[in-house]
Amino acid sequence: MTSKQKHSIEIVIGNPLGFHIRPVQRFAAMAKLFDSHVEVELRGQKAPGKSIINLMGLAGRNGDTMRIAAQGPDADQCVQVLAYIARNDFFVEDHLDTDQQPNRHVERLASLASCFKSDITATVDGRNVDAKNASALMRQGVSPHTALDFQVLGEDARQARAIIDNLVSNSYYIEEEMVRKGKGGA
Amino acid sequence: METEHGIPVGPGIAIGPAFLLEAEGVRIPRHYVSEDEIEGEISRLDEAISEAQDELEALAEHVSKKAGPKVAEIFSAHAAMLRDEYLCQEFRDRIRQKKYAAEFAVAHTMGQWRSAFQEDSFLASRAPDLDDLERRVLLHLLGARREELGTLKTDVILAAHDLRPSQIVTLDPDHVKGIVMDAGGPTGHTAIIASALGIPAVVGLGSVSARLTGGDTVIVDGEKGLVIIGPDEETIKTYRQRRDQAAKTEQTLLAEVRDLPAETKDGHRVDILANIESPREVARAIEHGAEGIGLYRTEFLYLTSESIPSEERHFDAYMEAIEKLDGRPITIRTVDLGGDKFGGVGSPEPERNPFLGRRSIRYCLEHPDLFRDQLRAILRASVHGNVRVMFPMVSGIEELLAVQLILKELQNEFQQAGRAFDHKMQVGMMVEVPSAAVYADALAQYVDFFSIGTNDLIQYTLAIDRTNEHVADMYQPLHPAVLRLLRMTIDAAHNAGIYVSLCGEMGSDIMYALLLLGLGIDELSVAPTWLVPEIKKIIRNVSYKTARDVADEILNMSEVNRAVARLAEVNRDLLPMLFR
Repeated sequence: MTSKQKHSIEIVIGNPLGFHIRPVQRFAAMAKLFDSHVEVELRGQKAPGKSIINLMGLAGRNGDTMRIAAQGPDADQCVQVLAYIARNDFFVEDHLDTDQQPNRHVERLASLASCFKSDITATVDGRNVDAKNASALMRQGVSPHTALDFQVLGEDARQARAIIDNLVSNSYYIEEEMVRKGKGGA
Repeated sequence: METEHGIPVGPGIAIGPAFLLEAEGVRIPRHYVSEDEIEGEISRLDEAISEAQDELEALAEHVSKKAGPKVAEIFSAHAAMLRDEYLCQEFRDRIRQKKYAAEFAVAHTMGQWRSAFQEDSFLASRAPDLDDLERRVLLHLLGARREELGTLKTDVILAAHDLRPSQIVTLDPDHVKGIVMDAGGPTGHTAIIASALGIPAVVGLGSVSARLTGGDTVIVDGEKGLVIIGPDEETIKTYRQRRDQAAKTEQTLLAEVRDLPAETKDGHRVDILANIESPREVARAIEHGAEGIGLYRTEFLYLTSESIPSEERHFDAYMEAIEKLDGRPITIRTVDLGGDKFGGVGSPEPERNPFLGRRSIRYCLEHPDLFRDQLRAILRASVHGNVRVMFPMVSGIEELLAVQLILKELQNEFQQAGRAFDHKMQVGMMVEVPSAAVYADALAQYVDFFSIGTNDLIQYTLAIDRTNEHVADMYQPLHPAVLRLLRMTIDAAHNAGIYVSLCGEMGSDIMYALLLLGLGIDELSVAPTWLVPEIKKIIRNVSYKTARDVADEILNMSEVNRAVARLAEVNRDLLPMLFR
């Protein structure tokens, strides 16, 4: 891994509301967990991907194509994570349907975990499961209300843990979390 | 440079820095700092941001408990925006590189973002988030140093979304050189006061307050209804010349006619008085050559106070005006609340047809205690000056007798208590309801004078709400029916040996001065006061005979359009210096 590493990916915004404050806040918060510099390009206009106000200023709408570019030691993982978030509603509706669509969150967990090189193991009721394997997690009965412990081992363990923690604290048990911490997103 | 179009409501041209009156009255005290103050400004900024974050997070927690996490998200989102390093860096860059004061750096940055957001239909709806954020940081920055509109020390152009009547009447015309407003229309209270104070003003601009940053240079063109934000040197120069030229022309005209009566070439005299909303306007009226006050709209005492004004409050206001008038007459109109004039204290329940409901004298008769307080104050003031009283919206003799009975009772009360009042105080009524004009001959038997309120008279006669854009163009002062009512009223008054004043807007439009003179009006009460010299000049330059002929000719026309065209033609022929 060198700091010159550059990655970029083009995705279609998948959020009916477009770049509203919450999606953008979620995106920027996730971007901040990486060391790489992040840039988003939309309709020829560029904005720093860690800045809520600059992202809002891009006025992204549902269906718009946007390019996410990252440069830095964790550029590869960063681009993959952010692209996944942007394609999937920016995860903004989480706490509305955690109960209706429990599997979706497990899929998210597995998909984000898969963006990293580290081995990520979830411990459920004393049993270890590969967190990158959604169906294995589901077989173990993991739901948004399951208490999970993670073991992360590998070169990008720090970022991976940050992302997983962020996801878990923001989408699982979000209501309790917010009351306890007094804050949501970032 | 950006030009916005609005409705001109105050005359003339003003150039100056914007004073942005936020909803909470935040104003940025200074814009620039010196080199050695920069680091101090940055710590002030960081501290304010951190305080604002704490506040937002506490708020999010509180709201989350009360209303659930979804509602609270907006506050945590705002807190997250304040953690946006790019945004905070923009604030700091402006302090470091441009030597902006922290407040100005925040306002300027947020102002630019707001403009960017407003250009995009999708983002425009998020602009209020930026307002909230800006206001919160500014309030933390300013702390106790918030500057208020009431304590201005420099000349400014006041910019606001909307202004409350209490804010307008208390503004200081020595420092407020122009007004620009998002809201408002041609008949609102801002229009009335700005015009009376001679402050160039443009209203109905939509979103000008959002486009402006405190300190931006602004040109207010109160003639064309333009507001120019950030004008270039060339534009400023052109406008300065126009402003100075207009001021010079006005001064010349004023010097020429100020101390002269409005007397026609053949010796017929009309008294030219002024309308006021507050005693503060008296001095200005006299400076412009007004011979007194022909209409004091006392309802502004109500609209500008938190509680119903007491007898003392009325009395103090009247005395303030009387002292400044130095023996000149003042016609105090009893409160004319209702219709479009509510919002302060004493607002009744909403009505389906407020203009046909409990407004004006009807409201007073329903609240005789308030009415008596005002009449007592008028009686007390009457011994100190040349005071007249008049009642608005009288529609029939029963109403007139009812209010006169109350006045009579109070006079008896004064008499018995040995309190001084002017026994000969003139008592008049406004003619503004068509019924009053139609049987003005009967009403004239009961009063000392009439005062014609053309705004309502036209509105009620033609069934036109001129603030309704769909029908506003049918509001026609030269409608034959209106002109006939004017003639009937004036003739009835003269037959009964009483005089007629006219205090509606028609009397302040130089277009109609000749016609009104010809109809035999005895007194014109004008607003804004800067029109007094022009009206005087018109009357001094024609003969009464000619004016009468013109009035007869116009009155015989059955079509409005022809009347308008003919009057414009006559004005141009007789008064080329004013009508080009």
